[in-house]
Amino acid sequence: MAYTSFQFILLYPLVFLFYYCIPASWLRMRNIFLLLASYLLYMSWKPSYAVVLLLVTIVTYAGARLSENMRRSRLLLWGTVVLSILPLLIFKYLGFINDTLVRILSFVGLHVELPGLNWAIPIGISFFTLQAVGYFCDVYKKRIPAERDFLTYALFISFFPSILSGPINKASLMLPQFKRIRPHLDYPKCVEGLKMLLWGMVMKTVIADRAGLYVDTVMPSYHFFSGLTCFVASLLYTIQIYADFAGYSLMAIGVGKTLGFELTENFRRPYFSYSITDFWRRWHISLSTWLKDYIYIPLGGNRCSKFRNYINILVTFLVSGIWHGANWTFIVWGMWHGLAQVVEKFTGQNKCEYGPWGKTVKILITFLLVNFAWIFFRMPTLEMACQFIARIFDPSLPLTIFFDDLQTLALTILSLALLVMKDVRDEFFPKRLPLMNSRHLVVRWSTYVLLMLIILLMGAFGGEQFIYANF
Amino acid sequence: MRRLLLKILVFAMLVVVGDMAIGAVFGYITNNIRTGGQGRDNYISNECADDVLVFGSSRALHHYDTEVLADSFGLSTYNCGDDGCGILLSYARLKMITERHRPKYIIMDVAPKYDLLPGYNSTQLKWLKNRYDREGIPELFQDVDEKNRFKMLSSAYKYNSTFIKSAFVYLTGISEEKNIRGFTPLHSKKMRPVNKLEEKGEDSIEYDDVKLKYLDKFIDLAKGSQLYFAKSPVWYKSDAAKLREVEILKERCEREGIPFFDFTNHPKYMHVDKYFADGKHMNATGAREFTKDLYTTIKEYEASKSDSTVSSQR
Repeated sequence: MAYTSFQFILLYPLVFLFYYCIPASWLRMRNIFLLLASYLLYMSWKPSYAVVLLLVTIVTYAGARLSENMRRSRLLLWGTVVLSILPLLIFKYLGFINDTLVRILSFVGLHVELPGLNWAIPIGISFFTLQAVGYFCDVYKKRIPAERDFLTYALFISFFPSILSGPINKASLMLPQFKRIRPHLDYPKCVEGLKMLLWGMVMKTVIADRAGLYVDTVMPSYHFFSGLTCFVASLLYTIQIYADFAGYSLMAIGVGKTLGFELTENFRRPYFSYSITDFWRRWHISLSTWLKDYIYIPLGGNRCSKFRNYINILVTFLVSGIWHGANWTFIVWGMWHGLAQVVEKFTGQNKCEYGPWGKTVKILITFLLVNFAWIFFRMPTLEMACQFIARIFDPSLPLTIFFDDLQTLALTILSLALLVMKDVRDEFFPKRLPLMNSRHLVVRWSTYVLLMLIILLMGAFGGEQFIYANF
Repeated sequence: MRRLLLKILVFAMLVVVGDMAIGAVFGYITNNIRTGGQGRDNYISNECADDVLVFGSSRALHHYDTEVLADSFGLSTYNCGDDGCGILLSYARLKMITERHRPKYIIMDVAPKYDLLPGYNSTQLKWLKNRYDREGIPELFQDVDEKNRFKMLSSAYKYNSTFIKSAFVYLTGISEEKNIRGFTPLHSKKMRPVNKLEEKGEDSIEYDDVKLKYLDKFIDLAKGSQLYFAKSPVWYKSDAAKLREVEILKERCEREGIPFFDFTNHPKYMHVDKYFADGKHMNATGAREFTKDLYTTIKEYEASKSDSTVSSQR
């Protein structure tokens, strides 16, 4: 259920009130209530897919318990990992594997048809699978003890604020919170959560969905637009995906806070990164941490030869690309980021020692590199992505920019200005103009009300689904 | 908890006050605009008392030359078509007009995408948000989406995304949109390139129940006026499946005795660049030529109808 949907706006206050009706000392009751709410909200999308969620939960729970009681066994490790990711492989990648096989076979002259699976992908499967596999690996590596209480573990995997699109929380962060008696209502944390929810909603409805209107007009029909228009569309997609996903993450973390939980931070103003390496410290932090802990470091990380380290980086980003989607475009996107980091490491550009102007130039270069990579992420095929980029650089096309009318242009500029002002302030002047956290009641409250009215006046409603919910 | 709930209540009240204030200010501004698209909508909704009315999507807006129609019929004419709009907006506008005036002729340009097939229902409501208090409009909003009932509780939402333009046009009187009695000709010198010759329809056609409901209501509302359905030309050749999309409407027209003039695949227009601005929209030259042809067709139909009436009387 998306945070900007009517269902959520109607149901969330009920969940909140019921949750706090249960006395704080009845910890188990509170957890059971959260578990039921999480499963019911998940089932509101497609009830039968809750079975997949339960299956992944049971497999990793049992695997972790077994690994604690048995000596380290590779069979148990691989058996549990493969069984946990099997639903993800079947639902998300079977079609892609089929297509690729059919193409390869037809290339060598064999024309066969392999059975496909035309089912919708269970929502959030990529996220809860990684979370569950991460937990199992931590137990297997003896970093944390196995959770004995199945209900607590099931709540960790299905916790509704983060099941749709993360953040991918670590068991070491979440399980102690579920097991600790939480205060009846942590007022400051709750208020902070509500502020995050409000700003997240602004990011989604006012900024992301507004930019999305332009992107959805230009990118699918790029043949009809000038190179400059295509470039503007790519810039707006870069903004859209950030505002959409960071907005979602803020809302998830905010909802968690209102219930007294701290979820993993997911974004830290990624477009102010001075290198691609820095970008991945700020973008989808919970995924980068997962990839680092469970792919990059087990491969050897940087404690090996330089060449091997480069290979490790490339493999990690190949996995990242494949995780994002079953399409060659995502693989190229992942490899683009991997290669850029290898080049940065090789040339020593992963650090920034150039002073403010040099840093600004590096931020711009990084932004453009990320921007062009997003084109592969957005376009349905590699061929179209390449044609789109070629169009941007085609000198024969007129230097005009398409905009429906001045109103659309004004709304887009206003929404972007809102995002830029907030991020510049948070990045460079964190102590200045604390509007939502101002000491003055009038300033604080005026900001809340103004943001709500901005949503009503400038929000592009209708795009309730979040981009990352597709992954 | 009590403190938190109290503060949430105060926040909600402040938002409601702000929302009402915005609604009042922009309601006044919007209703007092005389130029551009909003001025045109205000005229259609509040003043229009013309005898020949054209409804439909952007194809109606750009294809029906009101000067030609007014001269031909000898009656005052207004083009009520609009970009991205179809039967839902057409019904609402006709309803608002017929509350004060009964037109003599109504021409509805058919675009299956906006009048018959699923999709584009919410976009058709954009001009109606600030007419929500008019009779029949809330029902239309709820038929499109039940959630509209809640969205429309907000006064500011009625001016969502339009407030900047409204304020600008109201304060300066400057508007990009120029029209001749509602008709907005496309003055493009060269046709935009197209990447196909033919428009292909789907093998199985699924219709939109809401659109069909309002199509029937539109036909009922038009009783007392002479209603014509027309499908203006497209540059593309339409294949058999594409042509089938309007069959359901043709059946209804036959049942109700309403003429349907279909200019799809018309040899005079199909693949003729000089009449088009793009694959689906005619330019000013094409619009003038088509309107003349349509009027001739209407007159031929009327003559044949009166002939058959005379012969049946004999």
